[in-house]
Amino acid sequence: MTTLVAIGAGIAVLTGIGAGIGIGLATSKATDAIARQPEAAGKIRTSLLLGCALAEATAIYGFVIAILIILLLR
Amino acid sequence: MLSFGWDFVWTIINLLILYLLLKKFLIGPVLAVMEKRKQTIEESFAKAAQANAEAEELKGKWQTAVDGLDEEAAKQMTQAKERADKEYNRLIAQANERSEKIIQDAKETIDNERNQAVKDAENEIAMLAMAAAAKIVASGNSEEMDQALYRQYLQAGGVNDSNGN
Amino acid sequence: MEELVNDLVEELNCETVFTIPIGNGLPVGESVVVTWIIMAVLVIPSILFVRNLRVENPGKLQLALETGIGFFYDFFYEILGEKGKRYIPYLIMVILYIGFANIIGIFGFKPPTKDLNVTVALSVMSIFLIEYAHIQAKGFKQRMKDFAEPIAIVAPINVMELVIRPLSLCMRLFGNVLGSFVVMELIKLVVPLIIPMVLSLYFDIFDGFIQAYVFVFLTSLFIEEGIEEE
Repeated sequence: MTTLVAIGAGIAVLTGIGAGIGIGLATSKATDAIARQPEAAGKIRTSLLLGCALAEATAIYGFVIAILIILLLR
Repeated sequence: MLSFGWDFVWTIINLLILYLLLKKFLIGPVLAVMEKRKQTIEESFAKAAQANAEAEELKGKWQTAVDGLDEEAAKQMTQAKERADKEYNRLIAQANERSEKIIQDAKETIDNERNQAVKDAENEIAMLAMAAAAKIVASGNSEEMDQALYRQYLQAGGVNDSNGN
Repeated sequence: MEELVNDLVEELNCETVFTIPIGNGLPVGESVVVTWIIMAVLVIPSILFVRNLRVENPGKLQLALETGIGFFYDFFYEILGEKGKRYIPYLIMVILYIGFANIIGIFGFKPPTKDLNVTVALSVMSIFLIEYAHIQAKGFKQRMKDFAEPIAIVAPINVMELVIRPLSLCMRLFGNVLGSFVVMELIKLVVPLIIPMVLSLYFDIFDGFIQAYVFVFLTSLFIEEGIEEE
C-alpha cells in the first residue's frame, strides 16, 4: 500500500514537467523580447511573472495532490 | 490543514475588519495627503501660470505705453523741429528783409548823396559859369578865351562826373 | 521517515486555540489568532504613526509611508484605471496581509496562509469583489449576457470560471506556502545548519512576496477584465 501511495504521489508530482517547460519557454521568450526591446523590460517582466505564476500553478496543483495522497491514504 | 469550518468565517470577518481599519488609519489618510499635495502643486502651478499671464499682460500694457511715449516724443520732436524751422525761416526772412532794407537805405543814401553831389556840382558849375560869365563880361574876352573857358569847364565837369559815378 | 510525516501533519494541522462558548461552542483556530497578530502589527503602528500628516515638509516617516502606499497605488492604478480606483484600498490591504502572513513564519508563528481556510476566505472574497465590480460597472443584465461572451457555446466554461478562478487563486497561494514549508522541512532534515537559513530567504521571503504579488495582480486583472470598456 505504501509503495502504491508513493508511486501515486510521484505521478502527481510529474505535473512539474509541464510547469518547467512552460516557465522555460516563457523565460526564453521574455529574454528574447528584452534583448530586442530593452526599454520595454518593465512590462515584459510583469507579464513574465504573471505567466510564470500561472504555469507554476499546475506544478503546485500536482504537488498539493501528491501531499494529499500521502497524507490521506497513508 | 484541511479541516474546513469556522476559521473560514472568522478569517472573512477579520479581513473585513482589517480592511476597514487600514482604510481608516493607513491608506485613507496617506492617499488623502498625497491627493492634497497633488492639488496644492497643481494649484500653485495654476497660480504661477496666472501670475505669468498677468505679468505678460502688464508687460504688454507697459510696452504700449512706452511705444506711445516714443511716438509722443517723436511727435514733439517733429513739432519742435517744425517750430524751429519756422523760427529759423522767419529769422532768416527777417534778416534778409533787414539786410535788403539796409541795402536799400544804403542805395538811397548813395543816390541821395550822388544827387546832392550832382546838385552841388551843378550849383558849382552854375557858379563857375556865372563867375566865368562875370569874368568874361568884366574883361570883355575874345572868342579864344571863351573857348578856353569852355574847355576848362568841360574838364571840371568831366572830373566831377567820373567822381560821381 | 514516519516521524517526519507526523511532524509535517502536526505542523500542517490547524489547532483550535480556544472555543467561544456560544451554542455548541465556536472553535477559533490558530490561523485566526495569527491573523489577529498580523492585524495588530499592521493597525497599531498605523494608528500611532499615521497622524499629523502634513502636506508641506513631510517627515521621513511620512515620506516612506507615502512612497510605499504610492507605489502600490500606482501599480494598481495602472491596471485598474480611473474606474477601478475604489477597489485599490482593498487590494493594498490584501497584499499587505498576504505579505505579512507569508513571512511571519520567520518569527516563529505558523503562517495563516498555510491554513486552507484563510486562502479560501481570501479567494472567495476576491471572487465576490470581482463579480461585484463587474455587476456594479455593467449592470446585472449585462453581467448575465457577458457569460455568453464571446460566443454562446462557451457559457458553461464562463460559469465554471466563477469556481475555477477562486480555486486557482486559493490553491496557488496555499500550495506555494505549503510547498515551500515542506521543502524547507526536508532541507532541515538533511542539513540542519546554515543552508536552511540561506534557502529560507528564497522560500519564505521571496516566494512569499511573489505569491502575495501574484494574488493581488490576478485579482486586479480579473476586476479590470470585468469593468473595462467594451
